[in-house]
Amino acid sequence: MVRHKSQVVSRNKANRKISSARLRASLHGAAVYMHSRKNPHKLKRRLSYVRVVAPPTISLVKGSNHKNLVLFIEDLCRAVAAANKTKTTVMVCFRNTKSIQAAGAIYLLARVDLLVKKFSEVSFVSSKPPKIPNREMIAARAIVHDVLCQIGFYRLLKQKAIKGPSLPHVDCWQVVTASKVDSEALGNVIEKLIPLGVDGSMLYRAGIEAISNAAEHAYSEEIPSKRVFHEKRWWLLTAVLNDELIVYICDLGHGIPVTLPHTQSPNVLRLAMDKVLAKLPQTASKYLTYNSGDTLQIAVSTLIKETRTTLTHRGKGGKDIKSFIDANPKAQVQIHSNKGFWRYSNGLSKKTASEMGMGYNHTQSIGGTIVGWSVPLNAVDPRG
Amino acid sequence: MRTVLVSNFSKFPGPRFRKLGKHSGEEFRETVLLPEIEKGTQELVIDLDGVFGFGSSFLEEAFGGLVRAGVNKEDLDNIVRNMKSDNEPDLKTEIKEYIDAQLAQRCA
Repeated sequence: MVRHKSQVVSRNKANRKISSARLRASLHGAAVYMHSRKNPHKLKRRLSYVRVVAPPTISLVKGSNHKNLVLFIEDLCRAVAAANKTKTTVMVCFRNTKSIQAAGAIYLLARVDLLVKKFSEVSFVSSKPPKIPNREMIAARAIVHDVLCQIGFYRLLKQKAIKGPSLPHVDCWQVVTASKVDSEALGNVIEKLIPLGVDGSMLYRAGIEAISNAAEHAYSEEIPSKRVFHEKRWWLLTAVLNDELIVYICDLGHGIPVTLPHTQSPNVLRLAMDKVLAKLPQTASKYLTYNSGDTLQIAVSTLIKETRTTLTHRGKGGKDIKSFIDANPKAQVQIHSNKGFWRYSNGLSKKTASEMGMGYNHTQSIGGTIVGWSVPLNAVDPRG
Repeated sequence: MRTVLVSNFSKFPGPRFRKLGKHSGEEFRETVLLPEIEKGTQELVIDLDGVFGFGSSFLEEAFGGLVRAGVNKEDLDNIVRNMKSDNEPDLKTEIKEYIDAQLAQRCA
């Protein structure tokens, strides 16, 4: 029987009246309405998966982005744990995600990597991030999707995803992960960056120290903690964006503010802290909000070497992390650890320049440490 | 002269301790430096060139660790004096600092 369009419209209208009345009634204590709006006689189709929606920007830099990303990952962890019990599928929804930054990308990848390993029986689906017009490209492209493909995010979820046509600023993203210090893997990644004019030796020095710190202290069992570390891994991400080399090393361990009091003596810590506070510029109250909290601990960790050189042989790494910046004009190091964020730059601007860098405390903890360097490629010593 | 090429040990020197990963400073000290030092340090040249880079933990453990392993000052002076690092001359100064810091601790 073929129905006329007007008949369908009037039937839908009548059904909506019925469903509206039942919905109103359910608000006032009647049975929960479980049917479709257009057909009050048929049960509504239930979703067969738990959906977790990713934030618009996957980044750790701005306060709101940081909070949204951390909360999204916490939601995802809860959803995966629940799905493991109920044997349902988890959908990671990127419908709102329009941009992704390197620190956010490596953090997302690391957290999901551990989650997938911990709950290996949970299955995932994902929705593709939207295509965003870009003035540098003729057609709109799903750049976030391409980046997620490139860094192996979909592969982690055991999903097939096809990256779009090659884009230089996406194709250069490289990710390496291991549990021990793998100097060869680090060297091989940096070797690929040398043709760009990168000082490989300095970057290697900074990188090997950050990875050593991650492997030696980040998951230390000597530090009392409620957290259980099933995997003791680090992740390395390198990328070239806007003529800038970006290198991030991430671990999901205790975090610098927790490890520092266990790896350094109170005497050394007090001396380093006094040094940090003494070096804060007068404008600190305006540009720096780290005279307390996790950010202060991060700033202190970078001063450990000069504080304890004469005291003992350990704790030389912080200097290496800063030395790459001191050797490269306009370069910057960023450290995210638990709730703290600290950055130190080589002459970015007089207004914000500080001998002790800048930083602030976030409201949420990332539960680990991400150390990253960015350096303009035209500022790198080409002799390297 | 007897030359020890660090690049023969590894092109990618690693972390401080063996337990942290391959090509560590501890491994280099125990398997390369100490056996060579036993043969005599007068003619010993440690060539630091030809590797990708050094973390300071590697250098401290390899060379500062010699003091902790009981190597005498005369041998340490010979090692530093004959050390070769054309690509990064500052490494010699850095290694000397690590050795001096440990010698100062040993004397204290």
